[in-house]
Amino acid sequence: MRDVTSRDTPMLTAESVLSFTHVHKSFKSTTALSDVSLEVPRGTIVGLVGRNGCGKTTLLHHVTGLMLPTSGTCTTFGVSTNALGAREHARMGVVHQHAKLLGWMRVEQLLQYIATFYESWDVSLSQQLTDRLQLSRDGKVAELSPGNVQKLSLVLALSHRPELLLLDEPLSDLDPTARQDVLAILLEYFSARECTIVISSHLLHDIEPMVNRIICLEQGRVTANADLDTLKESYAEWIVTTRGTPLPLSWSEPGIVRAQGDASQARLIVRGELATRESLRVSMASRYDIDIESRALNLERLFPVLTGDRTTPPERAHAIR
Amino acid sequence: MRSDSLLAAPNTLFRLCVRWYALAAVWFMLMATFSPALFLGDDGFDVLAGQALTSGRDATLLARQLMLQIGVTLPLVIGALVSGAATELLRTPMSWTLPRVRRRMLSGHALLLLPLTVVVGYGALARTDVHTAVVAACAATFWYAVGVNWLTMGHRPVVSYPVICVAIIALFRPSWYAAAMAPTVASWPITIAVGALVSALGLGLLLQHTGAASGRAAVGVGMRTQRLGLVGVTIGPAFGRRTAVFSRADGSVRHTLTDWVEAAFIESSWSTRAGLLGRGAILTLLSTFLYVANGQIGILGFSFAQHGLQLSGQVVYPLSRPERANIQFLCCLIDVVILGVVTTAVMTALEMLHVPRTLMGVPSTSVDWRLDLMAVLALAPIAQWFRALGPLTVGRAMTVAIVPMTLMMVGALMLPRGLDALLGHPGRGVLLLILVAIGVGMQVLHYVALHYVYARRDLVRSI
Repeated sequence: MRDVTSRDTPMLTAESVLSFTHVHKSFKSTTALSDVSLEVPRGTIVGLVGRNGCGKTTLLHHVTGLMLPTSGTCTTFGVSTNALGAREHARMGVVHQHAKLLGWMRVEQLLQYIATFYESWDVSLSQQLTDRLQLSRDGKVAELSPGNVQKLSLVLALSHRPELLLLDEPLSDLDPTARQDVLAILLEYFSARECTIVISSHLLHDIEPMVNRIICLEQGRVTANADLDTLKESYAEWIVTTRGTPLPLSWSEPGIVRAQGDASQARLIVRGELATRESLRVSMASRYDIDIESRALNLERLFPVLTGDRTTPPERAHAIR
Repeated sequence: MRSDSLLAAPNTLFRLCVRWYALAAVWFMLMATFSPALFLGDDGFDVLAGQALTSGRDATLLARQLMLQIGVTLPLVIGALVSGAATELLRTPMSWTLPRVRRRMLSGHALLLLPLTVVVGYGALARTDVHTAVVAACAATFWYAVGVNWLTMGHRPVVSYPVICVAIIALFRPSWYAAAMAPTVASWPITIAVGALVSALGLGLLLQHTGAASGRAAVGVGMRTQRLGLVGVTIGPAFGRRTAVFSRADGSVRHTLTDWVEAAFIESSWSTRAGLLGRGAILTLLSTFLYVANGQIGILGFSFAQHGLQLSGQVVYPLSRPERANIQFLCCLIDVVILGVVTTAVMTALEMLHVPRTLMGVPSTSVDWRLDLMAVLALAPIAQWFRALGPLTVGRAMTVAIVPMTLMMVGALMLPRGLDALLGHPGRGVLLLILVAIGVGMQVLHYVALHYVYARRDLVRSI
């Protein structure tokens, strides 16, 4: 079976928009990125997920060249990120986490000011986006709510029609309606331009319908880098119910990566291809006096598996009980 | 173990204030204000008397004025430094969840203020008379309170502007200040002293309370506060309503270095620059009256270095690293030119008006400001170096700037005098030429160093 969470060095292709090869980044004694190797093909929407402080923002800063690796190489549009020039930067749109922008300007002034940075600035697109996101162009940037600052950051990132969109927590301050608006805008933009989007977010439920690839970081390491559908097909959640005999304290069967529950019912997350899982199910059903109901996993349920210990030890299962 | 006792209260303030850069600043202020007495001992006052004789001014009067200036400036600066630290806490909504935070800070103020007042009063008593001592001590109490509330007073221009006017009078015309206060103080010295202490602490409590209320409303330090503050951060643009300034009439895109320096001007905002010019001129003026001209020019340099012209880093720039280095270099160079022009204009005007100058509070004509200024300009890149770290918060800027600023100030003080002694008094023209050459060398070094650093360092700080 192909390991979807493989962290082998990727083969760089001509279609790669960005690539990392054995990138290591440390700040004094803190390791932010550790042996990160990945590539993002053109025309994909990548969800960059991971727990707080796992290195998502640092990784995005490496893509834009704001940070340089301690060792290893990273390239964006085939150019080493320490040599990115105006041309490459103009092909990127970036939404920084907690962007402050120039608070003393009005929204209209900021839009006009940033427009002077880019040849490809599309005035009508910026107008259309501010209208759709219900952003007042007369308001002072400093007086905008955090959510509106995020909307404005998105308008600034999109209006020069970039080929690569890097979005660092672009939804965190938005209300549910605004989140849907933003996601719809991003999907429309993606459909129209076949660009590449890397979106970092903790709102997995929101980004799941949008992304087609997942990169998961844990303590600076890539723990998963795979097509989302493949990833989801590789795991299943089993609801295990006893028919009488108490369930075992621990589950030592190969493929069970996470277990929660008590003596009467347990939730198991099982990894493996469908056939493998099916044979395991048959074997467990005959071994224990249990019923097993299999469910598909969504990204949110998958997240602990991707970020935590992938082989949950029996002790932990016991402790969970 | 948690303690709510008043004995633990001073820690609340002192833990905030005891930072090495704040202590260093207080140390420099102490050195500057008490230098005639500390460095020169009784001779300092002999020098004062000698200068008074040559300038035809009364030595006793000069001594009284000096003591009053100390009573105003030292507490004001110490209060402002404390204010910076205390406001950090009071501005945060978190402070409202801390038990008795304002009471704790107030007792810390009292414990800080009492020895300060005693030092100022005793110093004045030792050198002048009891009336001057009481006036100086009362002034110390009041101006400490003003300093403490400097950052919060900005919300109330009705209060702040008159206070600033009185401070300016006290600094520039201490005789007026003394004349206004002396009769009252002479009548009820103890009552006035106690009253000053109580009113200062009361004022402190009141203003910190309402200042914190503003912070609670998530307003933080307002624009006006920043404009008035010793350590102002960002100020709204004078052209804030003229959108045309930010776009380009011909619809062109920023390509050249000049275009991006223009962008830095926009982002630094024009009124900041204007405010900086005004502040620079005031500091230069103060330098001629109060302390070492060179030192104050250094502070002016710090002001430029801290608020200097640069891209804010708050938006995404389509710029390569070498381009960023070039822009940074040019912005620093422009600031050096502005510093030179402003200081030259002020000093030339003072010369034309035959305004007497002072050295460590003592009238002096021995300092050649042209050489001092040239030395500051030549060594300015040292003070500007930390700008390569990107736009910094005030606290961070003070932390990282204290070492280069000290180096620059000491270097600028020693350079002309050292060269003069080393070369056997070659004359001002030759010294100026040598300083210009050093300045050009420093700029070349700065350029190379910026390119080296920008090619290798992160352009954002880690989170």
